[in-house]
Amino acid sequence: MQEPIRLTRREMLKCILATPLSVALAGLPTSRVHAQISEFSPPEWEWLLLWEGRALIDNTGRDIRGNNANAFATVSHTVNYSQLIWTGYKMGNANLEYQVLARSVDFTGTPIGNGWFPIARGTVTTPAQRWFRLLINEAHWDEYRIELRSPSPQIVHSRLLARWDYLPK
Amino acid sequence: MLSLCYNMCMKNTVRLLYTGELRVNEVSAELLGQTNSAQPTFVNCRAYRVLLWTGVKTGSAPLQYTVRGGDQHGWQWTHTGAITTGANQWFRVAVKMPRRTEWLRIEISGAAQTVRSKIVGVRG
Repeated sequence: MQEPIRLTRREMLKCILATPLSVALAGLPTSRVHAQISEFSPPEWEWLLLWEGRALIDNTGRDIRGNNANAFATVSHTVNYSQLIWTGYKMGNANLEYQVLARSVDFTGTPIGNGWFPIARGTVTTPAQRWFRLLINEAHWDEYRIELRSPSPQIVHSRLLARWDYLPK
Repeated sequence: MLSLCYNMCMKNTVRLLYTGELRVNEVSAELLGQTNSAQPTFVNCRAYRVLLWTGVKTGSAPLQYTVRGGDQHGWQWTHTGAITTGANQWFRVAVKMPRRTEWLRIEISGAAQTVRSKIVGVRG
């Protein structure tokens, strides 16, 4: 008896996305779907969710998690990531000033110097209840801090994704 | 589950090569303090396409650095540059390899100061 094919939800999604829409709607199996299953191989990179949440941002220099102590990182152990994407949704109308900071740590996890290396800074000028996105290309740092300032307090929802590249062994 | 599979059959692109502190002066010094100019700082480097060197220097004077690539038959390429950040400021140097070589040697010189730094190699 033939073994049933076991698929994870992610593999199933890939099969569905690779199927022509008309075929998917008709619900008919095709040879193309089976080809996708047999040719499945690990990708060369994947996007990982580092943090998702919201914080009340004021003018005291809080990071996207709401921490206004400058010495603390927003995310750590990030040396393997080649890119970061910060997507956000701001609830207020006020402009949002951001600053992306980074630093390296030694074997013990202690930063090798005081302060931070500034990677990027700018202003999010979208109106209230709109999405925005920032791509951070200067990567492979050990720790990042994304610091925000808003002239009037507002809630900012954030999602931080990181790209992890792989090589075949 | 898929992540576990990736970890079993794939490897990371980044590897830590060095972290440490170096006292710099006008005499060009190799990162590990080796005085023989034929000796490499790192070996087995053919896999790396970029070196990312981050750190902090205590003085405001600029530092000159030299990166050499080669093997036991000699140095084949040289890349020079300067780190011009102020005192106690962070710096980041990205050295793209002009050619894959087994050995790398990093030398640094400048006005007396201390440099705490870290180097990772990016494969691929």
